[in-house]
Amino acid sequence: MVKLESIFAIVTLLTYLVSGGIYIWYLVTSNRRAARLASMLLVLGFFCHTMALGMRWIDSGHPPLSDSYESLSLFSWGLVLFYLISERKYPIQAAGAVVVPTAFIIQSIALVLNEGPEPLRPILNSGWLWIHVSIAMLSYGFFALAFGAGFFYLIQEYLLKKQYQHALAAFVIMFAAIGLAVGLWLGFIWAHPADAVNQQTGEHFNQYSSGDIYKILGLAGAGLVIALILGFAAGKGASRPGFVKRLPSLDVLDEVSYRGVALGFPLLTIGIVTGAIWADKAWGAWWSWDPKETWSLITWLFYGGYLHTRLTWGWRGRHSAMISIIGLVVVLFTYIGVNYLLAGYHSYAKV
Amino acid sequence: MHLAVFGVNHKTAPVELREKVSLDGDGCGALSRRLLDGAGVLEVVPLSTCNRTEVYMVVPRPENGYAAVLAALAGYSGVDGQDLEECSYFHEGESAVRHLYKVAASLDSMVVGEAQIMGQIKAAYHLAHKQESTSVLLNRLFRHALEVGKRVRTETAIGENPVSVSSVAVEMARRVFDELEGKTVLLLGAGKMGELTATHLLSHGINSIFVGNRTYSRAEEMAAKWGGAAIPFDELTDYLPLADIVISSTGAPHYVLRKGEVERAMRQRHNRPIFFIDIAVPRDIDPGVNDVYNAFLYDIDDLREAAEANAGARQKEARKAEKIIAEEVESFSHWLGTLDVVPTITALREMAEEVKKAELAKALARFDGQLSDRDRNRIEAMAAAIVNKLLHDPTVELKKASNERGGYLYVESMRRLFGLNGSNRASGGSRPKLRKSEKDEY
Repeated sequence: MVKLESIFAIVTLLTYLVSGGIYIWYLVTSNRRAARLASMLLVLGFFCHTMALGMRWIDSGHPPLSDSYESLSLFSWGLVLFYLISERKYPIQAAGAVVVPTAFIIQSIALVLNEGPEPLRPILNSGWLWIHVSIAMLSYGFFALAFGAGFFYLIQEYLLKKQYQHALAAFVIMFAAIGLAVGLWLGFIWAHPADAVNQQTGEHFNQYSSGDIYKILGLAGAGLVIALILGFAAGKGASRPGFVKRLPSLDVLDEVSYRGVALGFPLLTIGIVTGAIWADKAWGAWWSWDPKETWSLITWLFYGGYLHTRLTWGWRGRHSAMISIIGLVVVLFTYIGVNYLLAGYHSYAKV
Repeated sequence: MHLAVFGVNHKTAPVELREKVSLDGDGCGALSRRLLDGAGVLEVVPLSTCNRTEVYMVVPRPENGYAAVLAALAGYSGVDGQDLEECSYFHEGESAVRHLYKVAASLDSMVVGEAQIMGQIKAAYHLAHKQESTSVLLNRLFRHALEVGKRVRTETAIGENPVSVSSVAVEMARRVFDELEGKTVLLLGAGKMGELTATHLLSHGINSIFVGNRTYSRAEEMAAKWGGAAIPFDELTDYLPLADIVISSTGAPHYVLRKGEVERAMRQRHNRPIFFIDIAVPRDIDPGVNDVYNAFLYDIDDLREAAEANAGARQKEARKAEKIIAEEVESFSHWLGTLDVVPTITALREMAEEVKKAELAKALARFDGQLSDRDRNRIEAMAAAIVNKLLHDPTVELKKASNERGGYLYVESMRRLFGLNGSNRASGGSRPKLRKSEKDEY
């Protein structure tokens, strides 16, 4: 069973890679046959992904949400599902060039972190937990959607302001910055610094081995290279007059980004509340300022700020798009970073 | 039988001449009758649009067709024959096919990629078909041409990007607003370009328009035309916060809208975007407006550049279209080649069979019943063998030629050498009747 599951997982990864590559090819050449092929491959990959997750569920006896592999894999599964549904309804194949490689990257990180199914510690086995985790994940998904729309808003706005000149440079720089950031970020997650103590002051600090530094630099470099290729492809595509037709209008992007936050925020609120209820049962306290809790609160306040500036100050467009982009960084830190960089009750989520 | 086209278009003839030779429905009918009845032309489809008048025909010999159509068109329009000849072009065979396909794919249009031509070809063909001036060849040709036009449109991006300034302006506005329905336009000045752009926007669902002009009565006049409202020119900043799209084409020597005014308006409309289109020269809108949050300014140069870039892209697509056309011309020519081979062979066989039967009957009659059945069979078998042996090679060669370029010539020679045209009119050089299936399809 475990073996079959990992075969499915690897086939998933490969099909996502190839399909993402073809979507990028489509972005550059606008060859419709390429888009169809990419979509068919993606459906195949999605099937394998579903099988792998289902097997994991059966194997471990609980929903695939308990460790980094499971939640990341489920996340990319949700991303692909969401994209496939949207693609059936709207002509947004150009977004596939971003979404599918993203799903590929998330899925590969998940596989790197995978250490096989483990029985749950009794403390984690509670109905509230499943509600808490799945609602929090769903809210992250909506924030990711807001991020994507905000990202393309900035590109479309830049292009409109500059009368569609320098499109190539704009894309390359934007993608490269994001790729570098994501790569560095993932590198830090992957690396396992040893806990060291400063002899003189007695302070704890993280000791990175050379292997850790290679991991960090390697992933940062890989992120940069992938993003440069993506940015170049997108920019090349954008320099062709037909491309911008495939990029939605500012109004639509702004609206989608707003809706992402407007749906994600109440879900996050519910996620935090259910988390508190569960914490009360498990640890005997509603709120104990554990880093995960603190950062969830920061995320909550941040998106609250988005809604506030939008609804009462009339912010929209570029500023809101920027908030939704930074918001996802905060989300990622809350979601993954906290587990690895800060110690706390939630650290059993660490592999 | 040859396909040929005679025509004048925007590249070869001045508009004065094109106007004169332009044909309406009745004109098409009269011209077709004249060519079919008097000049030995077998099939005709006249195609007349504002940029071209062309006559597609099937003729026994191209040179006859040329003289006939020239005379008919000159006679109809009153244009001097020699003038017409100088401004015209004439294609025959494969190049006539290629010409029609290019027209259908709008490669031959004034604006490459424009969409009307397909409808015009369809209408011209339907009319000709109704007037019974077409048959197998032109039916097939025009049906195929419409398919080629459709194929070019779906497989290339030839019609995708706007190439006129006003349609580029609309396109850009839609990148900001997506749907233009329910948006409000503020039009400043009474310039022709501004009016055109406003009309274009209105045709995309805009339903509310303010018009401002130095001469108030002119503003009222234009507003009345679109069901909008005229505003006093000095109060335009009061209306600015209401406008989603501002078009400016005044003759003012200075800026009509400044950055500060737009900033104020933007605050009042809570940062909802405004799209500015400045088509005036000198410019009406301070270029600094583009730096205002959520304001997007396009001047005439920006729009023109985009339009030219798009036109360049269409040229690129046109090269793809040429390839498709070459393929399709090939396929049509192939069909044309096979068209007459089968009936020709049948006619040849029938003729031989008739000759054999007649001669056998004559010969057997002379023996006056003295032959045994066996001898009789022998003689009949011998006659059949001679006919088959004689016809074997020509039949094989003819079938082979049907797949080769110029195979038409073999068919033609065969018909002439064996006198098939006289004896079998239905499949020969005379105008064939429409087959029922073809009538049903159109």
